[in-house]
Amino acid sequence: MKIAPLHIVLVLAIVATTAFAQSSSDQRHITPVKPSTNTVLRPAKGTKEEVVQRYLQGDTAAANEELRRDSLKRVYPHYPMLTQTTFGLSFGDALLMAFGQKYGNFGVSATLNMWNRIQPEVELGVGFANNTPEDMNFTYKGKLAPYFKLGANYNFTFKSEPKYQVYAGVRLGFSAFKYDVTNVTYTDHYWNESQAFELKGQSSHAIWGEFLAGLRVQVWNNLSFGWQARYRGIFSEKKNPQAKPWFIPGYGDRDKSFAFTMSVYYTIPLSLDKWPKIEDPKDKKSKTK
Amino acid sequence: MKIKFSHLAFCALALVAVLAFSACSSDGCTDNSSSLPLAQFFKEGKNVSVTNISVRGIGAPGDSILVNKQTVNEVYFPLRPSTDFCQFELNYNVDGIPTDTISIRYSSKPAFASVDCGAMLNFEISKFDYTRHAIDSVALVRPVVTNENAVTFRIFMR
Repeated sequence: MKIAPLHIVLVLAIVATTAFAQSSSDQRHITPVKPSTNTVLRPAKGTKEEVVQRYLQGDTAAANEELRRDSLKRVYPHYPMLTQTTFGLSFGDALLMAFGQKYGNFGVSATLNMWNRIQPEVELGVGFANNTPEDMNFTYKGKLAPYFKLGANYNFTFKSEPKYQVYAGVRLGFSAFKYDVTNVTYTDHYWNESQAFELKGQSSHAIWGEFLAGLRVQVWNNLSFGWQARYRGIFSEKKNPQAKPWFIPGYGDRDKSFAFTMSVYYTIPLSLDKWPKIEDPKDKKSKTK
Repeated sequence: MKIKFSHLAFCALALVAVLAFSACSSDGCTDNSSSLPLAQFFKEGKNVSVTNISVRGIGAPGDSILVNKQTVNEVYFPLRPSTDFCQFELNYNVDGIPTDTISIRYSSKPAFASVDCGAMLNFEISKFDYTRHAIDSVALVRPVVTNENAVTFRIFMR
């Protein structure tokens, strides 16, 4: 069979067209739109099998709805309303006094941990001060007086076991107290005269609020340690123009907005039978083996 | 008892916080460490400076001078702690203008201002008088004198 030049041209034209068409179809694949695939996006691990099956059978809307509810149930262990009660003893001011702080607040606290989330707390304690600042002309004595605080914490680590807690809270505090300013020597340098006096039996009371953030860590059995950073502000106080109080029991130095407290805690678990059963990963591993 | 990383982290944070809070100090005394009456000079309703003026308390030890031939728009009159009466002399150092005298009667009261400012005597001015050579009038703005930076007298000049 003779191959006419016309045939050759025809074949070349067909080959060229096919190649062009091929390259055009390749270009279409480079679209930024994500191509649909047959991949099944399975629900989160641990979702009930019936929900997974429903999803795979095409009833995705209902499955997704149930999945959300199921996920919430699955994500973290639920603790009972009365999870535990904790008693605390604050000792942070003993440390700060060792570093030169001139006053101390020592108190006890009782906390009810509800659902491992909300923690109403009451604090009771006493405070005192004895300050003779260098290069100053007085001694300030805050007599031992009680204070009361009421408030609550919110445990951000409610999804974990209660033995480790990171929380924030609020407090409302009150204290009525007495104080003396003694050993005063007032010197007027212009007239070159000195006078000694004392301001005894001064009294006042104050109501204040606190925002706090804290950590608590279990160290041994039911014993744990914790510390809190507090930001405070005085809401109201009995004015005493003759001698403005410097120290407020439970609050501390009135001129400082921030405070730090450290406590040791003893925790009593409540409703233990209603606590979630959390498998120890080590046990799980040993069972698999 | 095992020592976990969380325990170490907890202790480290606590230590940092203890050091940070123990290192905190207040801003110091933002007012005065004494209760001093402050007098400002006025002329035609405006606070003005008086040039080349000398001010002293009459009877001050060693004739101590508060202001010595300076240009000032205000002056402190320290009240004598042991008495209830003080006089201050305003010398304009200008020929032909005699010295003016301001007399103040007061009572004193012990007070504690703050840890940073300390304890002091506050005063309550009950009466005052003045000569009128260069002074036109004197107004008592605030009879109670504390360590706050507040004006007690306004001296209106001629």
